[in-house]
Amino acid sequence: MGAIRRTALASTTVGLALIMSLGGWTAVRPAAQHHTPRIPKLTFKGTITTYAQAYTPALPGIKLLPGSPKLMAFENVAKQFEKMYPGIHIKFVYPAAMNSNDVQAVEVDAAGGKLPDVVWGQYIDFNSVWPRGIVVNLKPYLNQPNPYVPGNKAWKDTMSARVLGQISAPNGAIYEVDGDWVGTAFYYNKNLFAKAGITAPPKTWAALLADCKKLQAHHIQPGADIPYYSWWSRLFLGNNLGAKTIHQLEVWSKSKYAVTALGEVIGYEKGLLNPAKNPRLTAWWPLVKQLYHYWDPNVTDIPVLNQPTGEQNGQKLFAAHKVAMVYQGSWLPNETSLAGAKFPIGSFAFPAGALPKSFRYGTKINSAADVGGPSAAFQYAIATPRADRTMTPAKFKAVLAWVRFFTAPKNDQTIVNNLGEFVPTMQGTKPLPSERGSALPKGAKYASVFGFSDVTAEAHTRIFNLFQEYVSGHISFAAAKQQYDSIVQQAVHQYIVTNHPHIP
Amino acid sequence: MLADRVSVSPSTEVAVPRAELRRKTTWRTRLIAYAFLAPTFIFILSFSYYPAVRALIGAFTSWDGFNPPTWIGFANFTQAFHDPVFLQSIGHVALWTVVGIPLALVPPFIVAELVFQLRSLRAQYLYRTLFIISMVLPTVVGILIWQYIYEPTGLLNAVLKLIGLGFIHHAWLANPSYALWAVILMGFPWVAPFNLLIYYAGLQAIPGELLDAAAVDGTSRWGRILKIDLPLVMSQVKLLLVLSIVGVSQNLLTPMLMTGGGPGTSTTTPVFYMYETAINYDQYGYGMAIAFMVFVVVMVLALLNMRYFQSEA
Repeated sequence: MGAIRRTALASTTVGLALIMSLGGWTAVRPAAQHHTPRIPKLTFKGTITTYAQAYTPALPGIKLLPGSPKLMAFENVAKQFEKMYPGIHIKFVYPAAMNSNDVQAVEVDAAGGKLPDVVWGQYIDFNSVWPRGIVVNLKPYLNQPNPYVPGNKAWKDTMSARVLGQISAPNGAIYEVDGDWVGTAFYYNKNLFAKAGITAPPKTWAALLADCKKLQAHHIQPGADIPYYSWWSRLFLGNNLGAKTIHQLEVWSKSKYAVTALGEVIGYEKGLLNPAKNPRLTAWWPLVKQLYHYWDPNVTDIPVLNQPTGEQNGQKLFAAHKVAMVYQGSWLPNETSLAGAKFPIGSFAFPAGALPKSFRYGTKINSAADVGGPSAAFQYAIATPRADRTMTPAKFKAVLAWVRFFTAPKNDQTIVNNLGEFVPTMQGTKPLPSERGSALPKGAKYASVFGFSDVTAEAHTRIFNLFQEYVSGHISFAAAKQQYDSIVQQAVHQYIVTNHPHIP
Repeated sequence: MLADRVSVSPSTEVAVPRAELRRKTTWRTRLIAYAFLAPTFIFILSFSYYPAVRALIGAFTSWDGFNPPTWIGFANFTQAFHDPVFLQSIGHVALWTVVGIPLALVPPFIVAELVFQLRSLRAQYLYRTLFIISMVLPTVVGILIWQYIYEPTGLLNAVLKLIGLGFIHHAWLANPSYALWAVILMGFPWVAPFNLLIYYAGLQAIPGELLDAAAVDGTSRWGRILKIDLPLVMSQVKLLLVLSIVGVSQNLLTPMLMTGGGPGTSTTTPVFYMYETAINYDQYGYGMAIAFMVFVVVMVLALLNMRYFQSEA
């Protein structure tokens, strides 16, 4: 693997003049006080393929998913880069199989050396699901300057420390650059709430259930959604485990901002996160079941990971004015509007600090922002030469330069706000006014805890299915707990066999 | 006929002994034959035997599908026998076999008999066509149709409600108590067109004289079916039994498309688990070990059935 040439930190008016003359970077100003690195010279000439997922520009030849917004910001950023480096062409690709986050499709392409140069993927997939060796560990490069950011000394300084902490792999590697944040909340149809006589959104768990009852009494379906385990687990565990436990898990995760699979596995081995010893791991499940008692059972029962094509889901029903609320991501207002809905939408946070008094494990920790975070859409990695046969040392330098260029805060902001569903997270960026509610939570002190669904791909599937079975009322709590114990035990064993972690 | 002389050049002719000529010709004939067969052999070896051998070797490795595999001996097999999901999946396929195979064998035979006993050849043709025409429907489409039938708002619940049985409304594929039964009983009225055709062909092959003699002797319809038709289509039954065992054991599409092995693992079968561990969980070595075990079990069952029915028939 060719490493990028370290650029001198000396002030480079030549480099700046070059940029200015190319007109591609108007934000850059000669800064006498800063040591601005020289813009790297690239020997590579040819095409760099980029799979940009939700940010893919609407270019001829790219078949986007139906209903996708027509974006052009990424293409404009690419044009600036191409202007800076004549002979390099940025080609956006949109492999349909990869868009569905199909592990098999990625692996087949990687095994055949056919991955795009810049690959999209969720950080959890890079860290725990995809085989090692498909994408490059970017950590060494993060300590080097980003030459496209004036005055920058280390690329990582342009990024959010919390995001970096969260996307770090258990082995310490960082496989992607992550530049956006997704928030989640209860989104509600203001008209339907008003029809049921609800004048303000609920602030406690009890008020939420009472509002559901009111809606039902007015023949309005209160909500509809599939019970996604890893959403509810983060909301409840982030609150229920308590500050001391979460802090210890962060220490074991070797991160200030994240509880990784490693932290959970050590937590299990030490007994702190062993469901057989710590009832907090599952005590919250009946609360979720209480809420789903009011949710549309026809949607609750849809297989979580095997949804029939064209099946109704909560978001569709919400857009169709058929349910009053859904718990969804910050993409919902935009997508509901794209679906033609005209009604006013409000939102309220998960009432983390106001769980019922009868529930003995509630704490005051605000975990409302624990779902989402950096697992939005601006998550890009660089394919290794084994996974991408076109990758040469010279090309790698060019691809790295391209990634550094488009992740520069100004470009991150432009690209992310063009979609308008997430919040840009690079230092100094600003979200669109409509997305400010989903911004990186400044008050959030503790990392989110997945509850083992991030330890192995198998645990992910199994726990999702089990949780749905319980919430839908198909199995008892005792049976669910027993099965959860068994799945977690197996997942921890599998993780240890595969990763050989050091258990302190 | 073989020539006694072989032309060597336009001007000379050399006498060749007959035996040598035959040997040369036989050798040449064989070579040509092998040359024609070679592409078929190459394809069979590459796409049928090599993957099987590769799977057998891979069963002894830990492999994530991308990085080089590492040899781990019998660990995958040991893991399988301690894996509750795999053990549960064996129970599922056993139930599927016990319930599913009679459904695969009996209804098509009944329909084949009914069609065969129609007096009008035109009516036979019409009914045969009606039953066979569903073969043009891709399997995947058939499965998806049944998925919709079983949905909470699907056809089955609607029909139950219509006939006053709304109280047994269920999310058939979401409830672990019913999901496996729903998957097994999919395909009502279970008249598999292929099986129907096989039986029908078997019935057509029964000599007319035999049927006439039975009629003259006053044999009832039931008597004819039990004493003439059924014994004479036993080879078809044997074939369909073997194919059904293989089909049930290797049925990946139905659990994959209908339920994804769920809810929980209530519809997971060994072959689906093989797919899931290899493709979804990147445990290709373990998946290959499961595949090898499925192969051995199916082969043994098929051999037993063939031997048993051979002696009986």
